[in-house]
Amino acid sequence: MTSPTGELTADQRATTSGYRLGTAPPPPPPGWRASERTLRLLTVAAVATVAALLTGHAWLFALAAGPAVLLAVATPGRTRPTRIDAEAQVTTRRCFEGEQVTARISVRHDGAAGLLDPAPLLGPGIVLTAERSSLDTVTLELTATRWGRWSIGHVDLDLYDTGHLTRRTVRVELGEIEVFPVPGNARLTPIPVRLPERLGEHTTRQHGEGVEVNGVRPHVWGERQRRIHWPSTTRRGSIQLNQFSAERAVDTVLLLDALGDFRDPATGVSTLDESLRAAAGLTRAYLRTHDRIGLVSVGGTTRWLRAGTGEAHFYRIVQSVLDVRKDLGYGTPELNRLPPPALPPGALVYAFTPLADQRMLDVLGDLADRGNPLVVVEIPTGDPRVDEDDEAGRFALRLWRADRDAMRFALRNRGVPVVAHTPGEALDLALAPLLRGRIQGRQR
Amino acid sequence: MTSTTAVGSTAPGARLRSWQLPSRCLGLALAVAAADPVDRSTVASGLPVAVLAAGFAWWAAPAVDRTERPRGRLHHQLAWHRNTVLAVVAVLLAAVAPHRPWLTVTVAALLLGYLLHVDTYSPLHRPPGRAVVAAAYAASALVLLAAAAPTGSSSAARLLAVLGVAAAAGAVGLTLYERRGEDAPEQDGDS
Repeated sequence: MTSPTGELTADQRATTSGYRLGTAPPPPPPGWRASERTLRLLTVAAVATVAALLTGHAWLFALAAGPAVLLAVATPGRTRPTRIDAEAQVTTRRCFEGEQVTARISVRHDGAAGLLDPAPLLGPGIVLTAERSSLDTVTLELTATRWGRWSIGHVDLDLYDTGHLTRRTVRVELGEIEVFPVPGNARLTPIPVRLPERLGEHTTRQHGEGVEVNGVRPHVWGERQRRIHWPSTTRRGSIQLNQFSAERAVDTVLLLDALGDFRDPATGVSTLDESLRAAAGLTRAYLRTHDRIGLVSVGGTTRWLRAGTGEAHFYRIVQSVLDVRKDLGYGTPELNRLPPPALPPGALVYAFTPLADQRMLDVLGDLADRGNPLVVVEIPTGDPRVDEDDEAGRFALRLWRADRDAMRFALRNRGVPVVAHTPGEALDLALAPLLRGRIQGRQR
Repeated sequence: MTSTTAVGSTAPGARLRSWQLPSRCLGLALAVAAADPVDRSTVASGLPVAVLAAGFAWWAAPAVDRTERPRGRLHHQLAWHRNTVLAVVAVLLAAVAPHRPWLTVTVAALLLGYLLHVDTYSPLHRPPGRAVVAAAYAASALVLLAAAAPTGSSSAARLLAVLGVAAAAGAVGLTLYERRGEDAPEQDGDS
């Protein structure tokens, strides 16, 4: 039986279940209890009987006779199960946003039973898209809508007897799931002026053993003569050799602003969601060119991951920030407390921030003082909604905009490029202007 | 161990919606018959009451979708049990209406039909067999015939009726009774 139940979100489920998210739902009542059908038939029979006795109309007993017979013939006898075991299996515990996860609940019992009625209470970020039930199995098709480490939730399974007169509830926990963000579309990898002494794919201004010619110089005795530049050699009368640019890798650190999570009033897009999606896209782009990339997330507990490379590092980076939503905090993070490998000297730092918190300005100022080349990727929050007739609100909005302009100005005034990323668009559009030159920090 | 069997082939939500019109019509007929719009002799009957009952029945008659979970408030509980409330309202309206043989038969048939209809189109209940339906209608008919039988009434008639009802309730109760020790809940093996 395929039963699309509509897109019931966890919030809606929680609301319809009568308790809020974050509060533990009461345990299901133990043992067998009357089903709604039993209550309906008994109520009608009892009301008809009492009405007959009070009014003296004997024919009203006829209204009670039918329901009483329906109850009597539906009795399951002694076939009801006495022992019920339920086991849940989830197809995967890790997935990307928008992917489907299947939870299959198998029920075993020792007697005869009727249908199963699952009542799922799902965690945040999980949506029920379809539900299939058979006599001993319930299959739930779930979709993960937001990245994070979520509790999938639990399912209260009502097991009915064969006559559908009584039911017993078994609670099945579905465990946790890690939902990874879908990386944003990014291919461009701007680089700083100075790169560490490590082989990579970025052409630098320094001479080295790359493939890009950047000059010609006289031959020194003992050098290989396979790179002779013949036009210069014939013009000058002595052997001239090609010079090549060094190709190096870049150390990049993503700084994630998790000091707050703002929701755009117009689109409903969460800044934290978009920050991590954009950061994941940039991570992919740099890992594709075999660069090392690390991560520092500030807000609540400051998390960091030292720079590394390889496809597996992408998952390590994402996993390290899945919990940031759980501990959004109010303390100003101290970057000095980070171990040096988390923020290598000279590493290119991308700060993904909605620029809505003054504390982030202090963090970025600290980074600029360290001399790291820094790029601020602004994740727009949208303007707060203000009523037309709310004069104080309009002034507050102007002040709010001016405050944000001041933050941008303060950063640009220190030589920090600020680019705005539009959710839904490729990050390349925001980063393209940075390819005109090299990103400079204070260490020049 | 019960074998796996696909239960139905259509979505219950769509199935419920497709059967809303017959449910509404059946509930409407039950409420209007119980309210007896033709009669004007009592307060509880007549056209206004019938219109009110019809409006209520139009809303309450369709089987409740189980995706609507009950909440704690009284009006939410009543909305959740609206099928039962409709049946009870019909019984009460029929009880205060004057006795007309053809109308009593109609109300009894419609009430039982409505209860069976709700059972059948409830997403969690399989439709009752023909024998069950026949037994329920036969029991109602038997009681109607007994009630219509020309017997002399005495002052002890109500006492006898109470005793009869108690005996019938006892019989139904014994049928439903199951020794409590047998189904004491054991530890569930939740995962």
